[in-house]
Parts: sequence; C-alpha cells; structure tokens
Amino acid sequence: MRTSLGSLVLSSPVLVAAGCAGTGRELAQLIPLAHLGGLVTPSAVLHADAGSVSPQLAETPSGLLTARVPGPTLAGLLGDDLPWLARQRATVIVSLGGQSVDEFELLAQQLRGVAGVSGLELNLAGPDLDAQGTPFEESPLRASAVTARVRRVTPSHVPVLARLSAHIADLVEVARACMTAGADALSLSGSIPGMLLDAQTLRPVPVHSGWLSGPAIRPVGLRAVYRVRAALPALPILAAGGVMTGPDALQYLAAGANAVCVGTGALRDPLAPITVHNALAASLAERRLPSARDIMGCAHAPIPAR
Amino acid sequence: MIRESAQVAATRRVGEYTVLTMTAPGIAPLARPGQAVTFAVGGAQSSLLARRGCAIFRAQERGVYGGTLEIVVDAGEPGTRWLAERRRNDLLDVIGPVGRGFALPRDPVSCLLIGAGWRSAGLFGLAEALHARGCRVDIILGAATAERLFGVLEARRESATLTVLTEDGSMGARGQATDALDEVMARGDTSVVYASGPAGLLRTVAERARERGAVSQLIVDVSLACGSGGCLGCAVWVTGQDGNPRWVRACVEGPTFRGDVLRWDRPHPAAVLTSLSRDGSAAP
Repeated sequence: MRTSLGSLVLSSPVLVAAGCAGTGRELAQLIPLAHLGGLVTPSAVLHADAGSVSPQLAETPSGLLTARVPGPTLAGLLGDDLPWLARQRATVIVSLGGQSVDEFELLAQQLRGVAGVSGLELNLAGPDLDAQGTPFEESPLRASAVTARVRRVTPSHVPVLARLSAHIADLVEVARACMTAGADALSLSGSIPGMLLDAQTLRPVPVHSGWLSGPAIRPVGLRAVYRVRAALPALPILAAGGVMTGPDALQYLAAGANAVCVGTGALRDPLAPITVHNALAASLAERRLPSARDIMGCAHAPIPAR
Repeated sequence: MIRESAQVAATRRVGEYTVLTMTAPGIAPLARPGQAVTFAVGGAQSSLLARRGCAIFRAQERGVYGGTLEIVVDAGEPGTRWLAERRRNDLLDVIGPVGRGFALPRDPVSCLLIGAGWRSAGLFGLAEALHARGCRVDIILGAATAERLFGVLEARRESATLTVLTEDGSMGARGQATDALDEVMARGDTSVVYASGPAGLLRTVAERARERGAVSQLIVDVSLACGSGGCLGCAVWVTGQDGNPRWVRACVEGPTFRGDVLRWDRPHPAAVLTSLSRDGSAAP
C-alpha cells in the first residue's frame, strides 16, 4: 500500500501523530514504529517556554478538547529524540512551530542535513508574532512567506508540508498560496477550535485556546480534504481528523487524501495505526484494487454504471 | 508496558467501590507497587475517547488463571461506571504497567502509608514489599464516610498500627487522614511517608514530611487519559533536575513522585476531566 507525499514515498498511507507530548518512545513499546507509514513529531519550537500554558485535557462526546501547549525545543528533539527515532527506522516528519517567519527559517536551517528527517511540516496554526498574533494560516500572504523561506533553505529531496486547520475560512486560497510558494504537500490538521464550560465553575476549559479532536470532527476534516482536492488536484494531502478505523481512512483517501494520520485514535487505542493499516489493506483487496492510489479521490467521480 | 485483553475473573463490592479481578498474564508479572494501568471504556463504538487510569491494587504473578490484577473502581462518572458494571468473563482493553513504581528504602526503616478513599488501593502492594524488607509499616486511612474507606481489613493485617478517620465520624476518629500525621509519625519515628489521595492531602503530606526530615513519595491524583505518553492529560508541574519548573507526564515520570519535586503553584490540569464528567458524587 505504498503512497507518496511529494518526493517522499511511504510504505503505508497510515501515519501516526506522536501527540502533543510524546515523540514515540512510549508508543514504540506497544507498536513497531517502522511498520507505520510514518510518524509526525509534535511541533518543535526554537526557545523553551515551559509553563506558559497549562496542559489541559477534557473529554467531550466522541472528542477530546486540549490546550495547545508549546512543543519540545528543536535542540532537544535533535539531541535526543531524532537519533532514537532513526534507530527505530521510523519515517519521521518533523513538525515545526515557529512564531515568526524568521523563526521558521532558523528552525528549518538547523535541520539541514540531519539524518532521519524525511519531511518537514510547518504548523501554521500558531500565532505570528509579527502580525499581532494572528495565526499564519489565516493569511495567504504570511502562510506563503513561511513556506517560501523554509523551502529555500531545505534540500530539495526533503518535502515541505504546509499544515493548515480544517476550519479556516480561506482554506483553499491559503493552500493554493502555500503550493505556489513551494509547498510539496498539504497537511490538514486533526483539530479545530472548541470550548467547554467546567460543570462547577461555568468557566471555559481549557482556559487557553481549546482544540477539539477525534471522531467528532471527522466530517469537518473530510470536507476540508474534499474541497482542497477539488480545487488543487496536483497537491498531495496528508489528512487527519478522527481516524479510528479502516473505513475512516478509506473515506479520507476517497475524498482525496494521499495519506492519513492517526492521532486521537492512537490515544484511545495505541494499536489503532496498525489495525487501520490492516483494515485498509483488506478493504482494498476486497474491492480488487491493487494500490491505495486507485481509491484516492474517487469520491469526486460519478459512481460508475454497473 | 504492554497492551493486553484482560478477562474479568471476579467482581465484588467493597463499600461504595467495586473491586475487579482480571487475568492479565502479560502485565501482572511486570507490575511494581505504585504503578498503574489504563482501560479503554464503553466498548468499541463508545463516544468516551479518554482511557481511564487506575492504580494497581494487587498483582499476582500466578494464580489459577495465570497472572491476575486487581483494581478498585469508584464509579463516579460514565467511564468508571462502565468499568464497575463489567461482569465475569467480560474482556477489558488494558495497557500497563504504566509509569514508575515507588522507590523502596534500602534499609529496614520505619514507613508510614497514608491513603484517602479508593486511592488507598495503590498502597497495598507497597506494604507487602516493605514488609519483605523488614520495614515497620504504619497506615492511616481516611475518607468522607465509612462506605468510602477502602482496605481497612487489609491494612489491619499489613500494619504495625492502623489509624482510621472519617469526616462524618462513621468509622474511626472524626477528621481527615492528615489530622493523624504528626502523631503517627512521632510514634513510629517515620523515615519515609508514602501517600495516595487528592492533591490537598498530597501537599500536606509533602510539607509535613519535609518539616520532620522525612522523605515523601506520592501517587499524584491525575487522569491517565492514554497511558502511552501522547495525550498530556496527566501533566504534573515539577521542579526539574536543573532546578527549573516544568511539566512532566505522570504516565512516564510518575505516577509516583518525591514530594519535594512536586510544585503546588499551578493547578494540576487533569482535575478538568474529573470535574466535567463527574455527576455530583462526593470525592473521598
């Protein structure tokens, strides 16, 4: 079930998001990381900012609401986790969380020539400190500026994925701008903003920026993939958002994704990435389709007459 | 740490709690006192996505059914209610053992174990291990009511002295578990205090132990929402080895911590999960 994201060839269309805290070490005790299509790291930052946001997690029907906390520092990732992941023979996409165009460029420069980096993901949902904290992804101009600068300093064989959230108003336009600026693929994030009130205090939780993930947002994610695929047929898409089972992944591929990322699903069931892969392979075989490519984007074509 | 499908071998009620015994031949031999397990709840199609973490009450390497685990469930919200409703032969998706267990003293020193409500369950495997090292073991158990105490019979067997307190006075002395700390520590000349309970109890234990020159080791009261390191639902605010504060994951670096490492100037975030889903039943 090979697939590709730009120049990056993956052995499986099912990847795992390592989570907001993990870099795969705990997960590796439960599943062999090399058997996955790949692993996307938490978004690495330039400077440690411990304690600025309290991690919070709340359960809501078919979803989890989390506070977005600063990721690990890139220095920590480089010194410790990346060499370890390389030894696991995992295909690693390093996610970057810069707070300015310059920071993104600095992060990308530090990754030049680092072994075991199969791709870069630019997390554009974070605040752009040069634009009063407006998220990069809400401006085609700022999102494409980040993409262009990172693309320029990154070796051409390492694909750059622009990560956008499924809920943004100008999704297609921002995606197009990133593609024009050199993005090799799009990564559609598996969470959208949300809020809950604490049952006792009747105040919002998480206090800072809650993000909803899980099957609750799967229809939002599917629609985002479908829209981008219809408008930009040549842009590879790594999709996420509530993938728990093989049929979920199949739907994302049919809507136009080239690969899917299991995130929240792997929190409930760490074996989910493997079971999703196996179920996907079984359903392709059942449909007598030799490759995952044969199902990608089929939702855009009329149902063939029997 | 492994994931396995555990089969419920027996269930029994203890006061307001349910004790589940399950065969877990993979996890049971690996479990150390203070470690936890997490369960997927609600069945495969459930809308409850967070796993539920639970201290290991007892782990037996071999028995009639192979290795078994026992856990104590407080059915305070839909996920733990589902767990408490399991019957013999039902299967459970378990990950464990999660985290690091308690550090045990090298010498046969005097130890105090203090637990509140169902959270006391995490201390009993430890009591056995301390006895095996020749340690003196005193135990304090507290809860809101007699029905919310756990382990009084076991504690009586495992301790040199047992002190029981309930807030309504329905068993033992009236008061909170920590009310007896000074007296029991003085009487036993305690060197190490082990505690499992809500954050308020843990903080009091850490402070009293420090004042008296004793070491404290605490099971933090956070939700282990995955058990595989990814969710950050179990983040704990600690002083790192470099002296700077940081968030660490209880499922990796805990759930047992030295009291002098824990910081109390930030709320423990996982309280959110509890307060959102609890339906009004009182905490122990």
